[in-house]
Amino acid sequence: MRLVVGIVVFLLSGLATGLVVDAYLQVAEIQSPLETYADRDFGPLYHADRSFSRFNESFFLGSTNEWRTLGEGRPERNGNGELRILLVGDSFVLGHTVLERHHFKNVMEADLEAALGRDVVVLNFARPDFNLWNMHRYYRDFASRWDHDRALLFVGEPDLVPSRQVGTELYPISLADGDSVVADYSFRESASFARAKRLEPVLSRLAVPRLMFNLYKVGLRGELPRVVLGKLAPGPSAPPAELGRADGTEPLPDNSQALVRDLAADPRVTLVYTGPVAPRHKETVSSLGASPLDLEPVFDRLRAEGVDPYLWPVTGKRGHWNHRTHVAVGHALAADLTAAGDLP
Amino acid sequence: MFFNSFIFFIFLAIVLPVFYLLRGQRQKASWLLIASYVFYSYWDWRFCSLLLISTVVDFFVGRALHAADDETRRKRLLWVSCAVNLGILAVFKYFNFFAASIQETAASMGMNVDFLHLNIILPVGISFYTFQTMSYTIDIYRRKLEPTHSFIDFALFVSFFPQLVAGPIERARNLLPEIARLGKPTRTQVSEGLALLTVGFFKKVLIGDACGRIVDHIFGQPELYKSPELLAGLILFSIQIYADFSGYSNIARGLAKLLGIELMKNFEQPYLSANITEFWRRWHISLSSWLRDYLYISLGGNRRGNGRTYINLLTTMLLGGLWHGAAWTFVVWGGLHGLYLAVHKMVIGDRKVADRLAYTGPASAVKWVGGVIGTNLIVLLTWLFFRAADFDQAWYFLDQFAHWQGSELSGRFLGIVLSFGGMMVFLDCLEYFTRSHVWVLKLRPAAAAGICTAVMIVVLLFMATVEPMPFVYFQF
Repeated sequence: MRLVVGIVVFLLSGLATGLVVDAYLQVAEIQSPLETYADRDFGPLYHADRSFSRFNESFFLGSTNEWRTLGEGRPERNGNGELRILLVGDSFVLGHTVLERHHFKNVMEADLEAALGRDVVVLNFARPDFNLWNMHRYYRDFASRWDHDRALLFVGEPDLVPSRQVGTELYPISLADGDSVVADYSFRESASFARAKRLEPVLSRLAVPRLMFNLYKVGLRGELPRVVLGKLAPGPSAPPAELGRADGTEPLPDNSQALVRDLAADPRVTLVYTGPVAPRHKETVSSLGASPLDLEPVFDRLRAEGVDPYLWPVTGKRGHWNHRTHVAVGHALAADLTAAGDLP
Repeated sequence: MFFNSFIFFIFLAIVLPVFYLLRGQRQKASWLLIASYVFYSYWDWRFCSLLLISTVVDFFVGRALHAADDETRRKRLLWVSCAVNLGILAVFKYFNFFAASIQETAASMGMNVDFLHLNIILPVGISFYTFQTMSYTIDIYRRKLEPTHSFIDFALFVSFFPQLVAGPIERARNLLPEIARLGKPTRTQVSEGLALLTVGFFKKVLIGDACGRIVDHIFGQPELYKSPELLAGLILFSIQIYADFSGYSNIARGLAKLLGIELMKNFEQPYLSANITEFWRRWHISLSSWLRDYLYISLGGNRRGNGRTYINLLTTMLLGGLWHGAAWTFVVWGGLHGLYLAVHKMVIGDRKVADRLAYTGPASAVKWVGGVIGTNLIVLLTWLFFRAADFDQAWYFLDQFAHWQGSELSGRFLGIVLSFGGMMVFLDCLEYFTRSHVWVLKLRPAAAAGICTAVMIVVLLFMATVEPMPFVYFQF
C-alpha cells in the first residue's frame, strides 16, 4: 500500500510540477506552444490573437491578429481606401527572425507613403517552407480574400523547382489542368496532416510537448549525434541535399510554368526573386509574361558594403535575412514599385 | 565540457560508477584526478600544462614553506608561488589589456608605442584555480595550514572537476581534508546532491540560459531596441548572471556531494539583501571571502582607521573587478561596489550588519523590503558596466534611459521580466525562509522525486533543442 501511495504521490507531484513549469515556459516566452493549426482548406494557419516567441538565428516576439495573420492586421474589406500590398512568400518573407517593427514591410510602407502621399498597408501572408505551388494556392484561396492593390509573390530557385522542396506536404497546391489551374487538397490524406491534427490539441496549448516535438525534429534533421556527443560527434557524412540548383540544367517544371503564366495574367501580381535564379529559368519566366523584381542586386550591394545578407552578428549563424537586409529589401522594393509607376 | 551538455552526462555516467566501485582513498583520488584532467582537456588539452605548472610549483613551495624557519626564505618562497600564479594570469589574461591600455594612453599623448599583442586565448577557469592554489601557499605561509604530503591529493585539490572552472574557490583547509578522507557518499549526501543538481540545472538552463538568449541579442545590437527593452535587457542580465552562476555552484556542490565531498556555499540569496554589505556576504561568497582574507586583511582591513578602511575597501573591490575580466568596465564595476561599501561603512560606523530579516513587526518588514529594493537598484545599475561591451555601450544604455522612448513591446518585455524575476524570487524565498538549499527534501521523498524528475525531463528537453550556452563565469 505504501508503495502504491508513493507511486501516486510521485506521479501527481511530477505532473503538477510539469504543468507549473509549462506555464512558466509560456509566460516567460521561453517556449511558445504551436502558434498554428492544420486547416483542412489552407494547411497550417495561425491561431487568432496568439503571442509567441522564436529563437533561431535571432530573437522574435510577435503576435497574430483576429484575421489570423501576423502583426497588426486588417479586415478583408478595405474600408479606409488605403493602398494595400500583400506579401506571399516563405520564411524569409515571414520574418520570424526579427521583431515586427524591423520587418521590411515597415520600411516599404514608410517609403511608399512618402513617395505616393497616401496611406499604405503591407500585409504579410508568408508561410514557412512555401514554394510556388503552395504560394499560388494560398494566394488564390486565402490571401486574395483581402482587398488588395498588389500582391508580391517571393520565389527563389527552389520555389520554382519545387520537386526538390521538402516539408511542404502540409499545404494544398495548385496544379495545371489543361489551360486552367485547379486546387489539389490531397495533403489532407497525408500522414503528416493526420499527425498534425492528432498532436494539435496538445502542441497548440502546452510548451513542454512542443519541446518534445522540437526534439523529434532535431532527430529528423539527423542532429542527435551532435547534440549528444558535442564535438566528439562524427562530422556530417554527406553535405545536405541541395534545394533547387541555380544552374538551370533542368527546364522549369510544366506546372511551375502554368502557374507563372496564370499569375502573370493577373495585373495585381508581381513576382519577386529572392535569390539567384538560373538565367534559363529567368528567361522562361519572362517568356510567360511575368516581369519579376529581382532582389539579388540588393544582396550584391550589401556584400559590396561588407555585409553578409544572411549572417546574424550576435549568434554568428547564417540563415534568413538579417536586420540590415530587411532594411535594404524594404527600400529596394518600395523604389522598384514606385519606379514602375503603375501603383494606384 | 559544459555541465549543461549531454557529453557531460556521458562523462558522469563513466566517472561515478567507477568511483563507487574503486576501493581506498588513493584509488578514488587518482581516478578523480584523471577524470578532472579529461574534463579540462575536452575544452583544450594544451592548457592542462598550466594547471600542472601551478600544481607542481605550489605543492613543492608549500612543503618548502612549511620546512623553512627563516622568514626571508619563507617570504621568497611565497613570492615564487605568487609570481608563478599571477604571472600565468598576467600573461594569459591581462597582458593584451595592459598593453592596449598603455598604447591608447600613449597615443592620446601623441606618442606612438608599439607593444607586442599576444595571440592567445584565455584558458577557461584560470582565475579560479590560480586563486585557489595561491590560498594554499598563503595559508601555509601564515601557518594556518599544514601542507599535504600527497601530490595526488593536492593535484586533485587544484583540478577537482566540479569546481575547476568556475568555483567555488575552495580553501585548502576545507577541501584537502575532504579529499584525504574520500570514501562512499552517505545517503544524505546523495539525496542532497541530486536535489542540488536539479535546482542547479533548473536555474542554469531554464532561467539563466533562457534569459541569456534575449540578453545577448539586446546587448549585441542595442541600437535595434527601445528604452523599455534595453532596461528589460539589463534586468534580465542581472537575473541571468545570478541564475547562471548560482546554478553552476549548485551543480558543483551537488556533484561533489555525489562524490562524498562537501564544497562551500557560494550564494545565499544575494538579491534578498537589505544593504550592499549584506549583498557581498551573500554574492560569490568564495571570492568575496578570498578577497577579504588574502587582500583586504593584508592591506590592513579596518584596523588602521576609518580613512584607510574606505581606501582598503575600494582597492579590494577595484582589484576584484579586474579579477573578473581584463577590461576597464570591470574595474568601474568593482570600483562602484567599493564605493557603495565604503559609503555604507561610513553610514553604519561600527554597528553590526544584520545577516537577514529580523522580523519585529510590520515596520521592520517594510524597512527590509525598502532596503532590498534599494540594494537591487544600485546593484542593477552596476551590472550595466559588467555586461556592456565597452563604455560607449554603457553610455548608450544610460542615454536611452535618460531620453526614454516607449515601445510597443513594453508589455511583452515586462511579462518576460516578471516571469523570470518571479521564478528567481520564488526559489530564493524558498531557500531564504527554509534556510536550506535543498528545501525540496523537506517534502515526502516520493513528492521530492516526482518534482526533481519532472524538472530534469524539461531541462533535458530544453538542452537537447537549444544550443548550450557557456557559463558566464567561464570567461573569467
